[in-house]
Amino acid sequence: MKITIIGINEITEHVIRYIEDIYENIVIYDIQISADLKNKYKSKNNITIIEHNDIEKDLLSISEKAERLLILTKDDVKNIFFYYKIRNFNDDLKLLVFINDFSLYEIYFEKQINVINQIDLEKENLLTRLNV
Amino acid sequence: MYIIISGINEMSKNLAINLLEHGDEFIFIDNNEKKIKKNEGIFGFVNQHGNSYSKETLIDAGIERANFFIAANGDDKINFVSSQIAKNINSKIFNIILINDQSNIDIFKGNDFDFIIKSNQITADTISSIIENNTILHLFTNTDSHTEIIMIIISENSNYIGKTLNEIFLPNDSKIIAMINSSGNINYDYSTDLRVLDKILIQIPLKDEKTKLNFLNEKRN
Repeated sequence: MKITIIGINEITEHVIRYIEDIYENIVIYDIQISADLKNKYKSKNNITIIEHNDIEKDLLSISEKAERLLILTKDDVKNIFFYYKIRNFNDDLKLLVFINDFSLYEIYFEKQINVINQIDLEKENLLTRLNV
Repeated sequence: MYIIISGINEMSKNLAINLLEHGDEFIFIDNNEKKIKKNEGIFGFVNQHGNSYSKETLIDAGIERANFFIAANGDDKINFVSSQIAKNINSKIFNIILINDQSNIDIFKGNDFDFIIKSNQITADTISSIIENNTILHLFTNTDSHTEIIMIIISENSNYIGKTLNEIFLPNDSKIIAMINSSGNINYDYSTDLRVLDKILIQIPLKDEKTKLNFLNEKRN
């Protein structure tokens, strides 16, 4: 199974701990990736980290290559916008969006978007939301 | 009219000047303190510091009583999300959204986005014209009969001036209750020509929530 993640940060690292033994192929995109993070996952054969300077412009091709997509940047507004942009050209892709701000999370949860927040970021729940 | 403008820039400042001329009340939201300080020197204390996609900031700015929300930031992401949050808090607000990147236009669809303007078409005059031609007050919602009573005030820019009520297109199942002329007298003769500041009381079905503002635009074109 393959999963694509947009955004690498402490939440992503947390998520990777849950999924690295489940997914055979984990592809992570971000605009800037620190050398520390690159080195940390260098030895992991199933994790590929891609530095991409214009993810927003390339969302179509990123989503086309993805089987499941987890939007995990630290910017809630960017995550929400990316969700709608991807949904606009791909209605079937399994998408999960991280929203940190709880009031925003509640609003988009009510809109029946597959959202996740720090409070429900346990392994069981995450895997259910990813529909493993 | 109470209008919330998200984003301080040349276009939104020109819009505010137009709104002042029409006697409208407005507030800017911006997260840039320098812009807010500078704006205070021009317009006074009509600025809310913060992010317009924050529920708290929008509530502090008075979103619950606002008639219009104008998302005029240079970033489509902020315009998109802040319009959705504005509508979530106040379902009756009329959202006007600036789109900066034409490739994003397809995602600005659905009930959260009432009027979209492309950045290459936008002028402050365009927006103030939309506002001034949609002078609608929501008076009463009857959830039992699923109807709402609204009041349309004929503005000086309205294309209805000189027309009769019978010439105005209304949503199906709407009912004109009365016309109040600019002197305050109630008039049940709907063949009288409409004048500036005349008020029309109309009962419309709740399902026409969107239609009721759009029919004014349709008639103008």
